[in-house]
Amino acid sequence: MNSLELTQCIVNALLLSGTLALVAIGFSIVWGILNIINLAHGAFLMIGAYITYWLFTLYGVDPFLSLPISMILLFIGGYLVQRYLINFVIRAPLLVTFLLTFALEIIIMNLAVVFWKGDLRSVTPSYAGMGFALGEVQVPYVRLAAFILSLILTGLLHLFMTYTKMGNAIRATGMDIDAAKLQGVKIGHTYAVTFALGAALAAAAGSLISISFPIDPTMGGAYTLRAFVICVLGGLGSIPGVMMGALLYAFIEVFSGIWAPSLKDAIALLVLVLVLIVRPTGIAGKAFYH
Amino acid sequence: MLKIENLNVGYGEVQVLWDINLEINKSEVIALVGSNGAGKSTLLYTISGLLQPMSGSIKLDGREISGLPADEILHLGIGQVPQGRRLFAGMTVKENIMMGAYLRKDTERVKEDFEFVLSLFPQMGERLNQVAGSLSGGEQQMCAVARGLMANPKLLLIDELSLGLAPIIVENIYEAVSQVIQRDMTVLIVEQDVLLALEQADRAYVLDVGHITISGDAKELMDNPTIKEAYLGV
Repeated sequence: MNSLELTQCIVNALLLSGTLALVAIGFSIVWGILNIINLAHGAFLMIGAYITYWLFTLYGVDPFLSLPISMILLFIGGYLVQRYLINFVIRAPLLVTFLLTFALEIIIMNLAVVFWKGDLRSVTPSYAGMGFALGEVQVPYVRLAAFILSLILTGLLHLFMTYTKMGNAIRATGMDIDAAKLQGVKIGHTYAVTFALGAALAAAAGSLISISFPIDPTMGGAYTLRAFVICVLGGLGSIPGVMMGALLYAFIEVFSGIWAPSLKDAIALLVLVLVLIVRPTGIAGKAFYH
Repeated sequence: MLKIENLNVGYGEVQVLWDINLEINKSEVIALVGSNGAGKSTLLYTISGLLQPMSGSIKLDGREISGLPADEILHLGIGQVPQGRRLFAGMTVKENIMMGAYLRKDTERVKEDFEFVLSLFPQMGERLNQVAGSLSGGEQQMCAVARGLMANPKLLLIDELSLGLAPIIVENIYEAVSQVIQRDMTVLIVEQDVLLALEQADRAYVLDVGHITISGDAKELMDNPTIKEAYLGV
């Protein structure tokens, strides 16, 4: 690998890390606050990607403009799923919620295959293939925009959690649920909003991914897996931790894709196992959201 | 103000409180004392709606509140400073204190109350942006009381304020609580330290393994031979 290829890989990894952080943060808040490992996270992401695809294909809506639409729709969907489905088993052991979200993932994915077919599809706005060159390193516009939007959304989430009443209620609930109840926090509503936020962030990531990569109904599982690994790498608990985890994961994925493409997922999971052995709390791990 | 009648509470099959009768009048300071494991915290959790009673009634100003969710009970005017402080460890002191005002919509009054609790606990003012988990035990208790006051409840339940704290700090915090009482708040103090509680209170109830065994005027109870022998060690 010469220095040009190396630089290109670093740029690619950096750009990828933004979107991956966005995928993982939604997964992480649901895990951290509700103690649910949401295996349907990737399915929400896939729906977000299809919302962008259909709005673009049927109505010519610019894919970046469809981002808020897919976020709002998945926010509402996520709220309802939590409030009227998962909420009934929220006190059950982790395995029960695990199975429920797993089933949800399969149902959503299969419905998507039935209604939208299993074909690979692409969102191709006029600027899709365009980019600029930094020296000889290529930077595609859509990936750069996805990277910047991911950082903006992550920043907005941080501001929401820190400065709004609802954000504080969510953090308080994650730290001490009974104490939060004693301050008047309605746990059912707070959990549903948290889950809805997770779904909306997954949708945003899905919309952004659909502009850079082909999509199909089964795309979600791979992202759920990535989100899981990133949360373990970064430690469950802080937005900066998740971002660091995403950055590390993106580098592993890009470089193993060059050197050993067929072992890409195996290498990522090997790193996961090593982290769990050496540092089970992750890189910046803390117990809950801060 | 608060009237508890024939209340039975348990965890699953295990009954913890039997046939509790307790009454709190407006502007009174009531002490609920008893040894470790007597069921004091269980009673407070039940009043606040964190536990559902097996049977019996809890009335606030004549309205039945047993079985209501915790947020509605707080909204109706019963706040609690729970045992073990239960601060949100990763949040700042200011965020913790403001969580107490979570249900309030009267923004101007909330600001005034915030200034008031800072005047009660000046140390909190110096530590507003510090994470609550990093405070000393005494400071954490101050923060917990400040948070409880921010709800501006009609009735404040304070659970084991003195636990694990140096006497001088306990005295400081009770000093602040007595200032609040003068502002017309009704308070139920739960204490393992019986003498301390009786000194603060107008009336007191003694809870012994799930039953209320003695009740009456706090000053008279200090001279009650049973209490002297069992709790005051004289």
